[in-house]
Amino acid sequence: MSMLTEVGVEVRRRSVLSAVVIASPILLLLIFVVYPVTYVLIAGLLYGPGSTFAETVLSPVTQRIVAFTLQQALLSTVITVAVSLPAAALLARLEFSGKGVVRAAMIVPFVLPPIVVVVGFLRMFGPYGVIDTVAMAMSGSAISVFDLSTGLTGIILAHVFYNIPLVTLMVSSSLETLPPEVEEMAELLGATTLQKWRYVILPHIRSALGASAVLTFLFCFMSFPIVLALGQGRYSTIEVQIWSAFRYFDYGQASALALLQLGVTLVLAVAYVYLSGGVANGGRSARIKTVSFRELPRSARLLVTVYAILLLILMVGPIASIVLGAIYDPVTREFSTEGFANLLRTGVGGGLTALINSVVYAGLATLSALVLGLPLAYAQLSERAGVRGVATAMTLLPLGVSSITIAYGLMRAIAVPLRLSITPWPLIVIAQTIIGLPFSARAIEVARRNIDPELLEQADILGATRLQRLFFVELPLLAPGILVGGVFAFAMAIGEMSATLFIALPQNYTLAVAIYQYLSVRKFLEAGAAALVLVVVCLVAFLVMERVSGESAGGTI
Amino acid sequence: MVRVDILALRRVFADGTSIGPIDLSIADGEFVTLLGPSGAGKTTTLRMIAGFITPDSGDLLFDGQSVLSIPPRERNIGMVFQSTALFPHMTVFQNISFSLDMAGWQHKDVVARVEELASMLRIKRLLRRRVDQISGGEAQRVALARALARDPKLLLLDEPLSALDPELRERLQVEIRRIQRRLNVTTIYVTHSQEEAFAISDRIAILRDGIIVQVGDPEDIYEHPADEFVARFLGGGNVFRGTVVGSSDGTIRVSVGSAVFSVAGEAEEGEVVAFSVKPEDVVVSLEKQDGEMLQARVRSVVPQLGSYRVTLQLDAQQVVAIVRDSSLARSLRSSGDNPVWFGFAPSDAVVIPPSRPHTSTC
Ligand SMILES: Nc1ncnc2c1ncn2[C@@H]1O[C@H](COP(=O)(O)OP(=O)(O)OP(=O)(O)O)[C@@H](O)[C@H]1O
Ligand SMILES: [Mg+2]
Repeated sequence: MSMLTEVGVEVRRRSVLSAVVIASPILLLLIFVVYPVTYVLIAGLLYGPGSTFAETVLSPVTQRIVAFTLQQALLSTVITVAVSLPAAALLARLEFSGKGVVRAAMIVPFVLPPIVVVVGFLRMFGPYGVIDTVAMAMSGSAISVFDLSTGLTGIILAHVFYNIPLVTLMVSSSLETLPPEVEEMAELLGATTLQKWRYVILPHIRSALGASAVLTFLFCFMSFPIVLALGQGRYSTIEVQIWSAFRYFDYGQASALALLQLGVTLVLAVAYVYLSGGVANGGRSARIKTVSFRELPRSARLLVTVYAILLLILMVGPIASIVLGAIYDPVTREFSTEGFANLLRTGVGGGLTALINSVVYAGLATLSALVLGLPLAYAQLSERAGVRGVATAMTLLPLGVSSITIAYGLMRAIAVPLRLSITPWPLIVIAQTIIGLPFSARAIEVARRNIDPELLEQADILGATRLQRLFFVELPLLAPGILVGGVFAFAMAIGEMSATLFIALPQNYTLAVAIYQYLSVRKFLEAGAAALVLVVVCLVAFLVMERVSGESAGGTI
Repeated sequence: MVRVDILALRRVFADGTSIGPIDLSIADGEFVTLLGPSGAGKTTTLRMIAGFITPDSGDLLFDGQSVLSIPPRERNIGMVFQSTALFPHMTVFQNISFSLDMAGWQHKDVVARVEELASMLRIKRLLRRRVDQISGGEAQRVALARALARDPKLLLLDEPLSALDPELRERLQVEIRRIQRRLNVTTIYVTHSQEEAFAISDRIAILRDGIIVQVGDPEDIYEHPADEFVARFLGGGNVFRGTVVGSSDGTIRVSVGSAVFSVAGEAEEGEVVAFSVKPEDVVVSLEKQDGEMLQARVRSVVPQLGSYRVTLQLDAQQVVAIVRDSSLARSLRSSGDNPVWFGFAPSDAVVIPPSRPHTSTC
């Protein structure tokens, strides 16, 4: 009897312990995301200072901003989907060498910081950029004749660049789950190619198409660095306007806009979850119906070639141009190593401080994203539906609440009571942790799900305690997932610009923020060199992920 | 509905696997089965006929006209796969009506046609269901209805029943045959089950390594297997292979392992020959009887329709015999390790040509 009670107490102690471990990340997310955002919304709306909700909503400026936000997101999404569909079809159906590399390289834009993409776009498509130089030479002009990198065109092109891989990967993997017999059957039953797409293939990929389009819209809707830097002050979205309102102490307007934005993003997030539930994940079909390039008719070959070249210019051009941006000054039109020299300079405005800040903040944020990500991943796999639901919602939360809103919340709800306003760097780490957490938790969750349960049962049968099982069996098996999650979180943190810009004082600037500051004072070389450093970091991150997890890195996304 | 002539149709895959040349003519309304082990090229042949695989050489004629340049959708073929390949996002009705919709039929004609097919295949009550709400056997009926909707000239069936349980399989075999007769549609059926082939076909073509080794009606193939491979694959008889050690007036003596058999036939000494003996011609007894008898051990005695199937072990070779006497069967079963006797009349053994060596890459 007494032994039974002891066992009971032991079991209870254990379950209390695991409940605490699992609850802690959820608790921290409540403290650092839910509470600040709620607080800031309510406080801003009720007490201001600044405009009231009604004033904000009724003002023509706001209406223009909201309209532009929706318009650019919609345009970006439509163009992205239109450009990605052929790419998805080719990726799924065309046999070509290097397909694995292309598929893997698709992840690169995900880990590339937006502000770095801005630099690449300016150098590729901007004034005195690569294409402009060619155009100038051809037209014999001495001044710039071509600019696709700024204004609405630039914003949309950059958004398209960012989201093509997302839509392409999601749609092509959905296409690959369509059994070839189903398609052949449609042919045999008299469907023309067009009818086959209309009645068989499109219905099959509809969910993937919808889910990726919603995700694209969501990203474009909340996009900050691209709109800020390429819009050059002439274009403003809700996200940008929240930031400006905060800077002018119009908290009422900031909160009103944040509330509007949150309403839209939550609806989109729900739509995404609903649609992605319908995506067939039957795994790749054993035999995929593919054709080789040689088998295509001549006209199709020409079309595919032209399309591939254009896509290559859009996707690879900006990344490659960053190298050029680091050594070529479009203002003086000279090559120089000044950008790199600046990276070694300390002090405010110098690159070294920013570099050190970047590494330290991102390192700390990665560590906490992993420490929190582990229990969060386990909570997502919990047997109890309630725990699972809360954990999943919490993991996705940072994706649905914009970075600027999170930063705004942290600055007003956390910085003030903790007196962090003059030393705000812990808040930067917290913000970057929140932004990296979905990625680390997801990578770990995928790895955990892939562990064969029989292996763990074997450990139990062979007499391992729970702790032994965890340390000798589970964690070693999880190690690749943890590594991928860490690398992913690090890439997200070091490239993070929005929240960091919002929070940082000049001595806290990271490379990503510094790039924006350099660009706004037309120090293009300094921006280019800093961007190149981030590109290298992200490429290394990508290679590590590739090495460790191969195709499963794609699953993380 | 159509006469099909397959003329030296051949396809070599990039890895060197070669299927064909296949030569086969199928009369109007005939039901021909392609029978062969896994990897023999049955599916490939069928897909060449459907137009999904372009042959490297040879020709394919429907009623004397070459159809090689015609795309699959215009060949007017109905096809059913083992993996029914029903459109997952459509109802049963929509699946069946697909080809009619593609052809732009009037709605009321579509409804009438679908209902006609559904009652023929006894799936009327399923029409409103989604395809993930029906069973495997029902799915095959739906797939068949879908294939038949356009009144195809030719029906191709690729192992449509092999995923079903034996009882259901047998029921559907009968049904497929009934419908085929009724519609008189030329049909090519693929299976690797000899039983199914025998049960359902007008004629059977046996495929091995991409080549047809024998064509004939079921009785013909069963009684006169063209070569050792066919004899063994059909499993109808005991197939022995050995070296000729002597011959005299119409009888040869063949050494198989440690045993020597007398077989009616002609062959040179030292030649390797194969011969088969039907199980019903093998005599088994506890004591040695008149004639040539050999000793073997009993491996198993299995009762079957009105008789017992006795399997004997002779060195590495198994010999199957049919025994009708139940008291003999009982004694054989309890013979344990004690040898029993078996034999057959030399005239009951049939010498069969050796088959071409196996060339498969696997
Ligand atoms: N696309 C291809 N490329 C290379 N080899 C192929 C291809 N398709 C089929 N083969 C090969 O051709 C041979 C015949 O294949 P097929 O599918 O026709 O066999 P089958 O008789 O239908 O077998 P099963 O009973 O297993 O369905 C096999 O060796 C197969 O590996
Ligand atoms: Mg097959």
